[in-house]
Amino acid sequence: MPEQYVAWLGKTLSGDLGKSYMTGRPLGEELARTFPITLELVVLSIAFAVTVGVLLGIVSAVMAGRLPDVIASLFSVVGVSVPGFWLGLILIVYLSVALGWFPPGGFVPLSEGVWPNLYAMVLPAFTLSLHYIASLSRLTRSSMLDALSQDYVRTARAMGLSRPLIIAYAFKNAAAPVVAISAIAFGYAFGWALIIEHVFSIPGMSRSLLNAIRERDYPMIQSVVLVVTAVFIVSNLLADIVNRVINPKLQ
Amino acid sequence: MSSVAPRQLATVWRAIVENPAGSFGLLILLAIFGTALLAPVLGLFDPASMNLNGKLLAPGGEHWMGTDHVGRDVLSRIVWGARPSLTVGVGAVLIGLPIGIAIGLMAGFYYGRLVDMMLMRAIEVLASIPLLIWAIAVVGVLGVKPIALGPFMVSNEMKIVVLIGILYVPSIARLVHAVAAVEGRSDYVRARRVQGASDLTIMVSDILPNCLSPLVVQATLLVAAGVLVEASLSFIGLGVQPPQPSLGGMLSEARNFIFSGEWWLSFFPGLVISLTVIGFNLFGDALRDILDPRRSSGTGLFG
Repeated sequence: MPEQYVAWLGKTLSGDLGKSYMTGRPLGEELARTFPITLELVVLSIAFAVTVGVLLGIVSAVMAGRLPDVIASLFSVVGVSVPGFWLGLILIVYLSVALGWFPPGGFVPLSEGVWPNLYAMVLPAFTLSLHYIASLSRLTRSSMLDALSQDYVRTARAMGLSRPLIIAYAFKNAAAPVVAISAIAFGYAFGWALIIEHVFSIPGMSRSLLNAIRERDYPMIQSVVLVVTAVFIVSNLLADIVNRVINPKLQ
Repeated sequence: MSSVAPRQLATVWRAIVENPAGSFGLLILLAIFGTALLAPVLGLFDPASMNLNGKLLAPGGEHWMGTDHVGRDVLSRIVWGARPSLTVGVGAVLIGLPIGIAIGLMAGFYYGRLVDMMLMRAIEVLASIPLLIWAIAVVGVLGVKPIALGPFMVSNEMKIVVLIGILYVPSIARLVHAVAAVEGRSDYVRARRVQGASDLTIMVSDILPNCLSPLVVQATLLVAAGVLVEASLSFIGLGVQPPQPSLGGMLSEARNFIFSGEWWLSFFPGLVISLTVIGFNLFGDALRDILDPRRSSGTGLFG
């Protein structure tokens, strides 16, 4: 057993994941095809989630207690609670089937043009991002409220600095947890992306994994789990590093 | 201590009832737990009885939420399908709590010593496992059929409960560890030791009560996460197996009808999952504001 493990570890680290039970083809080949698709979905989602979530959080914090803040708070509770795969189904029923605005699923490779590729990704990426928009806006709001209540903000206000400038200064100090959680969210999103891919029939790693489970192709299952876990650990590590760079006090 | 508890409970209760979001969450939870528990006596249709003459009926008449592709009543399948969701959500937390508390207390109490290092390193390994993908993989490898463990038959639902419960241990252990590490070095603990109290007594009767508030909050939010994970697993066919009803499984079947206009098949089960999770989240947030105001900057980020 130990020798087997060491042999497997050595091979895996040198990039050889072994062969599939079912197809006999190297696993690396299949993952090289499906991994970039999942990666694109996650990168688009998280980029969108960070942009919208941070803006929403700042607006909420600046207008704390007023109507936009109340609406944003309600939205964030709903957003963290609604299961992505259900949201995806509902969006397909209404926006794709009834209105015909978006394709109901599938994937268009980049080789057929950047625009068609992105167009097919709009619904799945939005679906995956909702949870993270909601949680990042909540985090940004509370972090900004902390920053805005600091003495230097009062001083800046007394000195007559413009409002946008004050908000920018406060955000610089509020950004650390937001950046860290965004990195962690990236790792989590990789797991949930597999469910969203299933809803939209995107041929990413979820297809590799679910096919492998159906066909009892254990090396394939192992490889997908290995890749997702590696992404998860690396994104957690990045969050840690970013935190330490932004906030030297943590050392 | 014990004489204060009822009064504290009453205070918390009043605070929740006065908090509109919290009481709304509590109301949702009471409604959903109530109907799921009372499912056998509510006079619903049999969730498994098929009626091919009445298939794909739109909501209305005697089927309030319509019927599915083999004529089963959607409402009664939702009520029965909520049961595995709640079982997994609550069950996983009940498994994670005692293990997490024991590890966190022990490590935090002996902060900086060998036990602490070993336990917390082990927790770190467990925490580096992304929950959803491991749940998929483990169920995928073990298979969805019940497995025999000695004299017991472990159903797929129980496998998922145990699996999620174990993966909840790190977040619970870290929470307890943080509190125990601070309390363990406080003056009153030193005083208790002078009185001759044993380590175990101090841990259980002095330090543990200090962890309860954040634990209750965390547990509520983890139940919400468990409900989502169970629904996701059933959705991809690795959770509760048909014909037994489950909310995720109903959504999986509804996928076949998104092009033909039977909107009720996908709408209602998902709405109930969302409401359940919203209920737990609102209730948990309200509890946090009341019990644990220092941590009220929670993100709700999970999974």
